[in-house]
Amino acid sequence: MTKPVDQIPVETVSLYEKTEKIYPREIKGKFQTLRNISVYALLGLYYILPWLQWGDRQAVLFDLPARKFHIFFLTFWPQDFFFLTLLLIMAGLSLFFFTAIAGRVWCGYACPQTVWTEVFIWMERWIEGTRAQQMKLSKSPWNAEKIRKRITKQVLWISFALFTGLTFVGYFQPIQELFIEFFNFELDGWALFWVFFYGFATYGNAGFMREQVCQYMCPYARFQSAMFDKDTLIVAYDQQRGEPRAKGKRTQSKDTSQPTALGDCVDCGICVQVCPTGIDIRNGLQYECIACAACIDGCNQVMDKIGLPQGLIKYSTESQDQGSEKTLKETLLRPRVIIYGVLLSIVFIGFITALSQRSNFQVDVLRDRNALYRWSANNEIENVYQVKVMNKSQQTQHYSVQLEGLLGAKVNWVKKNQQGNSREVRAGEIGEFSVIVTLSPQANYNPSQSVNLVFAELDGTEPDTIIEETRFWAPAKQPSTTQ
Amino acid sequence: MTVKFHTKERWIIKLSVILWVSFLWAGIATTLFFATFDPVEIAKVATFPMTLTRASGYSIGFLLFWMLLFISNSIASWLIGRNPNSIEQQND
Repeated sequence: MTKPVDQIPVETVSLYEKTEKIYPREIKGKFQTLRNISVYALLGLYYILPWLQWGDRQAVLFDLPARKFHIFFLTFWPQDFFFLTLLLIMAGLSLFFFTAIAGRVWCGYACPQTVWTEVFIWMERWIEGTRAQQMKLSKSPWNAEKIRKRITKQVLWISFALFTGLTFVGYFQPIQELFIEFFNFELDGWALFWVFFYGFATYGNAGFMREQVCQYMCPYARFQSAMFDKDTLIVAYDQQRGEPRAKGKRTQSKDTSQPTALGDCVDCGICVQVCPTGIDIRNGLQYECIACAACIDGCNQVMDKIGLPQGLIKYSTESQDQGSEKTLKETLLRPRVIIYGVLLSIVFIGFITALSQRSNFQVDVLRDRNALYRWSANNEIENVYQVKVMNKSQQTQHYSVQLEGLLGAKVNWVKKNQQGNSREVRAGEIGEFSVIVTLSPQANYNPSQSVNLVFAELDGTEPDTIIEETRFWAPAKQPSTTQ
Repeated sequence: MTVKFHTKERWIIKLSVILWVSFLWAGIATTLFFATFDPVEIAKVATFPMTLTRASGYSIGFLLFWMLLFISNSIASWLIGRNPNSIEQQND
């Protein structure tokens, strides 16, 4: 009766179903029009933005080699990291805010994964035809037509992905030179690496991974439910109206006083066929649903055809489904939305204020480390400071220096290349200068005391001033001179 | 009836999740690190002669962060999978 171990039938059940490629059916409708507008707007912005010029430079350029970020009239330095932090906080709060109101609008309309996948699906349809034609082609043997179509699709996908990668790198180095170098095969090093890297990521994510990125890799898909409540907008199937579903024409009159045996759902399967993540919305809200509303458009079309009212699948909320009669205003003005909204407004106002209050220049003062003080030729006490002036504005600036907090002392730029009482720094550059403070030994002073160096812009309509505190050192006074 | 177990597919999903999560955090780490330190200055204080431009400094830094996080996340994921009490193990 003993069997060898390997002959005992073992039943294994997988947690992961074998994923089949999803062929979403093309559908037209108001939500799909909205999604297409969103794709054109967002991708248009992405591909056009780096080509815009602002003055004599690229309008949007994250110039990493120079450690400067240009965004139209603004230039950010590593010292402005604070603004990036605020920006990220705002992005996070916006996500909370919009998720609480409208559910996964981000996923359905704006996420780069969705947007680029749409474009790749368009190209696929363009070459391989409708959903049915695509499925037939995938089952057919490798004949000449299949090879031709598959090659054409790949060429199209790869070219588009490479163009996307090139544009991406064009945000980090001047895009015109980048394109010229790339098409002359002169591009090398890291730039070329990142073109291929970003291109490959686009090709892989939008061409092959598609909905699996949302299902397995996206953190937002997992935690978005925490921001949901009963009044959050979701794509929902009206179960009461639809069930029991059955194929075929509805012959009964739609008189509400006479309950019909059959629900409105004709089980045509359109809602499943159009779904880019391959789910059946009639099974209720699922985490795979990216709220693209393709099933709404699909179902509405069918309802129109068979002469039933639209909205068997529609944007709805959980409380609406349970028969709540809340008005839109009541739904919108709930504590969760108000709290997110207020927080978002506060950070936004703070960001704008901080940005407008941002000084046009920055100064670093470093004491000369060689000596605390020195004697000048005409017997005066001198302190030397190394000064770095960073011109963050968009035009050449001149800077003056003055001294506060030490009576009788004089301050001057040390003559180095430039003459005069001011120093010039070109837009977006750092000038390194020396400043010298001179004091007569007869003056009233302490051996070590704090002084303020006041730097001021001389050009422009609203010149900025920066006060830098530093120390002035002098020899201890002889008892005779202090009398 | 035996349901076929797709080891290969699960492996790819695991790999892509680990790669993606590491990528995100490598991006954050790179931004924070290089906003504070200039790669050119770091190259100057290296214990061996090092020539580094900023562009390659950022790229190498990012890939290094990514690789470290990938190794760390892979080992964590592997160890959790080896835990005899975990659900994953029971289904293997």
